[in-house]
Amino acid sequence: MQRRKRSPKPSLIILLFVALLAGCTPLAKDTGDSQEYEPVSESEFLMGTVVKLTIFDEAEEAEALFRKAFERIAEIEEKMTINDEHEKSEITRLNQEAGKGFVKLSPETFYVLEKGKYYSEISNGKYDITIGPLVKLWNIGSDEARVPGKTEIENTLSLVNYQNLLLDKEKMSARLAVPGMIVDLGSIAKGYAADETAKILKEAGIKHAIVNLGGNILVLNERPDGTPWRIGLQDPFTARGDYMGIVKLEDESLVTSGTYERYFEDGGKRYHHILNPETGYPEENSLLSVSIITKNSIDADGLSTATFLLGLEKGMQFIEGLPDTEAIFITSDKKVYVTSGISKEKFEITKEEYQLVQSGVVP
Amino acid sequence: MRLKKGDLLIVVLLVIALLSTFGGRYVKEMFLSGRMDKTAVIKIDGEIYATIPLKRSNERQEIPLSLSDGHYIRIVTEKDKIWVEESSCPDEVCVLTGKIDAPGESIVCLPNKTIILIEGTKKTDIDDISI
Repeated sequence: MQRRKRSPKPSLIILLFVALLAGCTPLAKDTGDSQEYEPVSESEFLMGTVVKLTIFDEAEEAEALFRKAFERIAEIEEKMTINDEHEKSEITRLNQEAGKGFVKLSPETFYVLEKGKYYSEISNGKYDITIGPLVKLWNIGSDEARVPGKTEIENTLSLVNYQNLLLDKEKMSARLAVPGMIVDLGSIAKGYAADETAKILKEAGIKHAIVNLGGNILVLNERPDGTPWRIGLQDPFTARGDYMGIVKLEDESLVTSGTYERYFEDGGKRYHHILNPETGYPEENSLLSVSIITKNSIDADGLSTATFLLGLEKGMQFIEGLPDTEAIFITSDKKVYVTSGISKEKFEITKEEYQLVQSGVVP
Repeated sequence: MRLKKGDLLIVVLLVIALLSTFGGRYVKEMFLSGRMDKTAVIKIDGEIYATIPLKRSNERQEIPLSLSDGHYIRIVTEKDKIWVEESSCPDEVCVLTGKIDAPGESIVCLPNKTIILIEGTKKTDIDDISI
């Protein structure tokens, strides 16, 4: 009797397990296999930095697409660089004609220049697209970097003023009013190049990709599994590639301006590359880095420098006043401030020593 | 209690089901995981200079590279790690990056146009990094 009663039990339990497993299997496949995508990636040195493109779709002509994108970036660099032997740079020509007449530009160079002037205006000159003479004077990032003399800086400062950059949209031309002025698109052209790269990838039918221009990130849509991209935020205190938090992105750009990016040391003092157009020296405030999230990379690029120069308090107000724009500030005492649009899901700190200060609040 | 023939069949089916789902993935991970096959790729100005399989059994290997205009970079690999020991560049970002050993990690020396990256199955928590 007892035996008979028990005998159905094992098979019942086993059957239940099998049923359970059968139910589980497709689920496990969905989450498991879709993460085993095999992205293809290619890097090249362009615009004075490393450009890394990663495609997560199955793309047969990935190689040709990479080449096309790199060629496009090289073309933008050629048009907009000021470090050139390239005679083709429109910006070099504009700078050479400083104090003389208007110079005709291609629509895209005009567009980037116009954006640069716009960000100079809305930041009240804290960011200045005509910073070129100062950049050349300091030469940070090159072998010849040095601390300039006081008089040198004073003499150079008078050349930095975006209001003396005159734009004529109808004639698609620009003019620098004072001889010796230099426009430098270094703080914004990479953003434009990222946007143009994204355009090429999208036109080729690519749905999931990451464009990385020297640490400026632009993502296409979301990950192939439908979840947001997870982008690390560089820890300003540690080695390159080491992150302190993760930002989730979907069809957005994330650009960081930090003091650790480029600098040199002299007499035990560190001089970083974000120059204040009013003082002529590297900006010294409580910030170590500012990261901006926008739809287009050109905006995130220009705004990251502008916001860094505005400092924590004014920078926070500045970004809160702009639509569809968010920011993450890291200060030298390892506090992290975020704008009101950044939720806990959007940005998570992964290193304990960093402390998140309530959104949108600055002491 | 004894198992009937039917029960035995179900057990066998269950084992097969288990193996093909969890076991299969486990075996796959064993063979595909970054720990099993990691390769460091050294690129100079876009050209691949060397590819080095990174294994725990590797002995220390020094790769001194003389570049144009008197520039140089000295790369060292030991066990499954690779790093830049010395470089002629002014800021030494590459040296400061330290040792790398995980697929997806990279060391970049901009002045010397040198990239070292580790290829292999990606096993990191992030897709890329904003610098």
